Amino acid sequence: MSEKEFRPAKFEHRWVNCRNEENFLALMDMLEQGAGEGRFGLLYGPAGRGKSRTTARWAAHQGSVHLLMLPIWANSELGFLQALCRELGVMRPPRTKNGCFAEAVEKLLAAPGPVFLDEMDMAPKHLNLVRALAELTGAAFVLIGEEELAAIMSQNRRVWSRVFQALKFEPVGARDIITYGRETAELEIEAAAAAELNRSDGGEDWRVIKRTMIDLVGLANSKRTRQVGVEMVKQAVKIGFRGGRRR
Amino acid sequence: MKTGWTEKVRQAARGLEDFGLDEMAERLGVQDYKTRRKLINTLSALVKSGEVERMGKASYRWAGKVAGQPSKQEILWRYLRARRAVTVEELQEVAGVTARYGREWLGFLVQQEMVKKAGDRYRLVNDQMEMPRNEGKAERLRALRDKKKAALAALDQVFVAVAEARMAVADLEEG
Repeated sequence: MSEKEFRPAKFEHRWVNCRNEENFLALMDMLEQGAGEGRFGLLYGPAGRGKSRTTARWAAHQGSVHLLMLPIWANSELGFLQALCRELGVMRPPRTKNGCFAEAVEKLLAAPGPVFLDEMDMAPKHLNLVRALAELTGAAFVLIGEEELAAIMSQNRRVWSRVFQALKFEPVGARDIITYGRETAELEIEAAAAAELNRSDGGEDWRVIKRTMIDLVGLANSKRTRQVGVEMVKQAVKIGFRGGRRR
Repeated sequence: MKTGWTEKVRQAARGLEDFGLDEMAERLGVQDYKTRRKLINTLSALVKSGEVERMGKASYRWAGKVAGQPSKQEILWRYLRARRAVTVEELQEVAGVTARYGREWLGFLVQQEMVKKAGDRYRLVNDQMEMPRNEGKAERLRALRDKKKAALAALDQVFVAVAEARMAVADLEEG
């Protein structure tokens, strides 16, 4: 690119479909195909891989229920059922477990859209309750949590047999970084440079990658290029350390 | 129930599937320039919402998408309720809104004491389930639309006056 033609890159906050997102969409498709049967989808993986963001975004666009499980409900079925009722559109949930359960069943029968329960590992005691709701209404429940959730569910045969698909959110890969750079800042990140960033401290965490990408935009613009090589990535990672953004 | 203008256009588009502007105008009994202009604006809005596709100049197709897709505000509201705490950047990514729009929307919720700002995060502190409507902004937009309408009407009058003047001058020259 000649000096005259160079147009500085600009970082834009934008949603980028990466590998995990593609797998998640496949899972949702599969759950839809099993409509009418009470079923579970399971999404698990360590924190910071975008599980909650991905599902909350999907639910926000589709108008599905997305409930964040609170630790205070761990031993309170009533607290959980009341919150679920509110999300399902019951303005004044009943004060009894039975009443709430019946309301939730009614609402789910009327609109058996998928229900997302985020951080389900915070209240694993309610798995059987959720299974009963799924079975009675034919609704799909997508349970989200860290790795121990998969282990807890697999120990409960009745629950595990209803899991249509379990999806582990993988760490960010070099390919994801290349796509992210291209779509948010029109940067062409070389494969070796993406691998370098991926290997660096925090290089599998979207938050760190995003900040590094912003630094890369600045560096690329100062060098009047859109090509990002290994050296530039090393420099950006260094800037990140100085800014105290890395773990 | 009275059917609004946009709904009438929507129904006609659904019935016609592929249609030209003239065909649609005929179907709706549009006879004057003002209503035709209104029809063009409505079709543009439907193209923007994805319900109608523009196939070429003055040529459209019903896209068959379900009307009533969630608005940006609805998406933002549902996302905020699901996550409980968000940043402006997150809203940009999730709903494709601009930073300015995201900040303005969150600022409105702060004013309503539904959200509290802590650093660059906005936390939902008073969840009323129902999506709050920014009536003040809606009022401002309505006023803006009315102004635009009045300006367009004035321009129409100017065009008519210029045309009449041209014709008068031509008559003079011929006479």
